[in-house]
This record gives sequence, C-alpha cells and structure tokens, in this order.
Amino acid sequence: MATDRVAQLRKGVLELAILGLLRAHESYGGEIVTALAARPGLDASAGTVYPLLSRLKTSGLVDTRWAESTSGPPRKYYQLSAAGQAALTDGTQAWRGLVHALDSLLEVSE
Amino acid sequence: MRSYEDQVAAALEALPADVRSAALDDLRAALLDGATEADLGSPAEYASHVLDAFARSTDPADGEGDVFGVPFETRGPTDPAVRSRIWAPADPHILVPRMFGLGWTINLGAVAVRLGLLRPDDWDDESLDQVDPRLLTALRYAPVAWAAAAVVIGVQTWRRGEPVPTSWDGRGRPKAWSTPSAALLNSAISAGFAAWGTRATTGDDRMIRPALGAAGASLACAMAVLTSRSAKHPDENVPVPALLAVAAAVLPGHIALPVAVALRKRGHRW
Repeated sequence: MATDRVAQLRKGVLELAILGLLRAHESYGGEIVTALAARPGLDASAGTVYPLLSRLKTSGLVDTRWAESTSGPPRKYYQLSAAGQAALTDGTQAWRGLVHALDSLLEVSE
Repeated sequence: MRSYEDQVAAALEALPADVRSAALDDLRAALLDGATEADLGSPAEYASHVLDAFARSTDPADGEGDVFGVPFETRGPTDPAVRSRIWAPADPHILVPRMFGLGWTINLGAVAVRLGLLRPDDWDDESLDQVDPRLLTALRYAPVAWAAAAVVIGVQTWRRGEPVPTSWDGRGRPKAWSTPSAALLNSAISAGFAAWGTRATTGDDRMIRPALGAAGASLACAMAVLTSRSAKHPDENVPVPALLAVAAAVLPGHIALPVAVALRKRGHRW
C-alpha cells in the first residue's frame, strides 16, 4: 500500500529530521513531536519519536539534561552532541546525494 | 494493575541494561511531557517501537559471545561498556558476562534491586549528577590511598631483608618463598590499579572505574599485609579469608556510597 511505503520511507529519515531540528537549539520531546507534526510527511507519534530519542542518546548523537519547567513537571531536554553534529553533516550530504540520484532516476522513468 | 511504565519495562526485559534504562528514562520524559497512551500506543506497541529502534544496535558487540551457553568477553574492563555491567539496576540478571574471559560476574545493581533497596527505574543517566562532586573526587582518588599503604608496607618488608612468601596453603601458612624484593610486587600492582582507577571518565563510570581501581589496589594492599606478616612470623598462620573479605567489600562499598547519596537527594529512603 502507498501509505505503508511512505511510512517506511519516513521512518528511515526521522532520525536525521530530529538531528536537524536539534541543530538550532535544544528541545524537549513534546516540542520535537510538535515540530515534526508541523511538517507534512514527517509527522510521527510520540510512541515513535521517544524510542528514536533513546536510540540517539545511546548512540552518543544527543546529550540530555533534566530541567525544571515553569509550567509543570521537569522536562528532559535533548541537544546535539559533537558526534551528532558530525552525523547530521554526513546524513545531510548522504540525503542530498540520494535525493539527487533518485530524482534523476524517477524523471527518466516517468 | 501494573503501570504503563512497568508493562513496557517487562516487555523490554531482553534488552541490554544500558539500552533498557535509556529507553525507560525517555518513556518517563514522555509521560512527564503529558503524553498519554493515545499518543504512545499500548505498552506492547511502545515496546515494539523501542525494539525496532534498537534493532540495529543490540547485536553482540565485537569481543562478546558465548561458548556452549557460557558467555565470553575479550574486551576486558578497559572498555567502559564492559565495566558498566557491575552496576546495571535496570538489568534483572544478577549473573552477567564477566569482564574478561569465560564466565559470569555479579551485577550489583540487580542485587540491590533484589534486596529491595531500589527499583530498577530509580537509577538513570543523570542520577550520579545528584552527588556532590567533592565526594566523587574523593572516591576517584581513594585507590591512591590503598596504593600508598601498599607501597609503605611493601618497602618496609623489603628493607627488613627477610625471605618473603609468595603463596599460602588453605590454613594461611606460607608454602613458597622468594627473595625480599618480591615484597615490592604487591606495591607495584596496587600502584598500577590506582593509576588506572583515577583516570578521568564520564557518566556512571565516574564511580565504577574508581571502584574497580580501589578493589584491585586494596586486594594488592591486603596481599602486602599478608606478605609482611608471614615474612615476620613464618611459623604462624595468617587470616587469609579475613583480609580478602575486607578487600572484597571495597567494590560494593565504593558503589553503594554514591548511589545512596544520589537516591537520598531524590527523596529515596536510602
């Protein structure tokens, strides 16, 4: 089904999207879910995003800290680590190369 | 009725302790952020997302494996990921692959959980940050004190010029002897452990590395005491088990102190 294909494609790039979101500033999980939801095609449930954040953390690509919130319980903030910065640079290059190659291929086949 | 978090934790039991602990910590963050079961999916669905996310990172690392069910490890305690096995409360297994060679070692975190001293999810990546840095610094340099004692005892024994024992029988009576300079071997071993244990590190390893360093340095120090005593009184038995027990208590003590302080800071009853 087309929607399954989109879901699989999106899953593969969500990690890169999260790293991209964290490039500008640190965010807590809820913010990341909301920011992804604002981008058609990248929206993902909290049930998908938090496990990916766990994976990014254990891979050393993000650092975390707990901080008090002015409006409720403490929040866990995620920020890019040096390794995450490097992974984002590599991932961006790889993504652009892939998109370029795939675009050319799809144009030919159209 | 078990909580959402407990149900996810149970479904993730097969994951390595550090991965499981990280995943549960982020689940707690999600729940604090206000996420509900409608956002996260059922506990089984959430757990399957976690397993899916980690599918590529939970294969055995290079150097890890098993022979007829007995685990082996070739990386040794110089690898922080290997060292972390001795304090992994989120891992329910008390026996975990040993740090080097074939066999198992004890996961003190699982022992503490089994004794009811803490819950598996009481400990996370940030817990040790609750501890006063001065205490962590004191623990970091504790192996040096053991090494200093071992050096003093070793040098005194060597200077007396008596033959020194190199092994004992079950009753604590010396059974093999060497020249006085052999007394310095324990001092050198203790100093080596101290130098290794005080190296800078991060995360939970800030207590694990010095704990292992202190355990090694104190064991060598205990050997220096035994050597000195037997060199002086070759016909007497020395209390080998008592001295070794003191050295064996150093490792759990080094872990228990900062853990207790961290948990008390978070309002735990320790």
